[in-house]
Amino acid sequence: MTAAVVLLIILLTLLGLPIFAGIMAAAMVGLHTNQVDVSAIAIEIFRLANAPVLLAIPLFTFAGYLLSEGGTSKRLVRFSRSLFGWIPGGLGVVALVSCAFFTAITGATGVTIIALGGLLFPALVSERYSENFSLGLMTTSGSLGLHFPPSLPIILYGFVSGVSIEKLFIAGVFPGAVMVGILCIFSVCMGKKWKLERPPFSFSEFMHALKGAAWELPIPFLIILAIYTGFSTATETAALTVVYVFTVKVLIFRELTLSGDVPRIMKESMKMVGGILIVLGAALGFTNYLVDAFIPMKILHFLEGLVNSKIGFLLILNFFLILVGCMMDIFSAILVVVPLIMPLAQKFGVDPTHLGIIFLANLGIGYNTPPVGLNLFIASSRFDRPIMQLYRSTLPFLALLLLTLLIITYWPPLSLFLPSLLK
Amino acid sequence: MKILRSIDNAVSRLEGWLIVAFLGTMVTLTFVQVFLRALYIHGHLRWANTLMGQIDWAEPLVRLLVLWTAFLGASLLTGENKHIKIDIMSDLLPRRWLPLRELILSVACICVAALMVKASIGYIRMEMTFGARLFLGIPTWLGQVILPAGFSLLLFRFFIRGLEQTIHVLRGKMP
Repeated sequence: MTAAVVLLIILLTLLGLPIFAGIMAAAMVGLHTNQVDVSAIAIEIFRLANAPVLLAIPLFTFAGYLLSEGGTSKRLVRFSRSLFGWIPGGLGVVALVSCAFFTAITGATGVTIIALGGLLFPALVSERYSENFSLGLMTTSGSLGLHFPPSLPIILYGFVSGVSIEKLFIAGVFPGAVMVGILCIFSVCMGKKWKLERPPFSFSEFMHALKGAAWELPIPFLIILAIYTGFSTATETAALTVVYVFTVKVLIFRELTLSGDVPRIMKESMKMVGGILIVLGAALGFTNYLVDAFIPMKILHFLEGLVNSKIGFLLILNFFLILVGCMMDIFSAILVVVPLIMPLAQKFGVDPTHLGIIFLANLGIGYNTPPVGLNLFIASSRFDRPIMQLYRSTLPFLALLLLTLLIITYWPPLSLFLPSLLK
Repeated sequence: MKILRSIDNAVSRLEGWLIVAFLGTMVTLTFVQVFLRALYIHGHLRWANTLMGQIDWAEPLVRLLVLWTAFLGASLLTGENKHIKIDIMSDLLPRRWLPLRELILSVACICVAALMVKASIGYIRMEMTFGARLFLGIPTWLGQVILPAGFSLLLFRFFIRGLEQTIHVLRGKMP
């Protein structure tokens, strides 16, 4: 009977049942078989009101949504163009760097391809980059910058795993930079090979562009500064960010109206937050059951028969997470999988901070992995190209990202060096 | 159906206004706390510290508002059928099957939401007998009202959706 219900839930979820409903149903079935009252799920959900860290999620999301409207994306692209446009393959570098930056300041909420694609893709094609190269670049750019503060997936990972967000923010800096860097080198190589035209560097244009972007460029650095000087906690910094962004967009640039745009953006961003937090609530209820039923222990037992080294475990983890990443969005993936993996990783001696960085890198790559990676579909509809062409065009980028994934996974100091300085 | 839709619209508007008010409160209260602390630590203003003591209810209130706002947002999201889901079947299934799929999913969601309403009412009943307080003497169960209320909103939205899909499926089969 129970098995039939579980099978039904899995089938419905694959059919497109909202993830939260699927997890809640699974938790109910699990608790019921363990003879625990189902109100345990309600208790877990209400625990969300006792978690101080959680406030960072609505606040950073709101700030990110404010930034994704109006001229911020144009000012950022203009600035990075004036800075990198003159090197070979420069516009590719511009696209990668501005996408990573934009993803970071908007908290990695998935708005990058939509906000920047319309600007950068035509520019790339008109400067005679091949269409497939441009498509692949724009698609993969959508998941770059996941590792930079104030990325929402990092905050969620911190919440679920119990690792401090401050530590995770700083741990992501180098791995994130390596990901962007390797793709930039690829773009430079292609630029040289194709002998593309290179506009000369103009100091006056650089100064103009810098002046235009002067309010928005410092945001990630101000966030890091506020947190690591101990001026404010991550959550408080989120509130400061909202006030800062609000001042810039509404009072200084006057791009958003107080009576029309701001309430609309508030609603839009809170819908996103509601969608994530209800999955979080459901996942907490489900985890409660998992722990009661010793499920992580059982998986561990099973795994120990298969692998006995850290390397072997990490290899399986990488495969598994890419699979998860191409089926699920990054938020539900973190919420559902992290509680399962945490005890295993600890057993195999993987640092929880390092694990978080591996998680993000993996899930970001999963976004670009055929057949069902989310970025591929977003890009397919945004640029109006068939999905098969996107599979092909992202392939070289995917290969490079997998290479960085190996570096990130098997060279822990890259992630752990900066946090170790904090102590 | 028409009446249901107009109720739906009115509820959506109310939810929208509450979201704006709650998020505004969350930002303002958190900002004021940081500001006052900075005044006290860096400006050595005694009154800033006193005032901070006066608004010690701000932090638990803001945390509670996160949960309330999340439920309101999730309810709006349900109305637009935009919950996070694994969406591979939309491209694989034949087009004429889609309304039937939506109907099946709506029924499943109605069941889950209804069970959650029941579970959260049970939880509140339990909490009421404890009589614990949140802050400013507000009883804990009042803060928890959002659980049954939120799931009822979701239930209402899924119900409307299910009804619409039923009509759709039935009409589709009639010649």
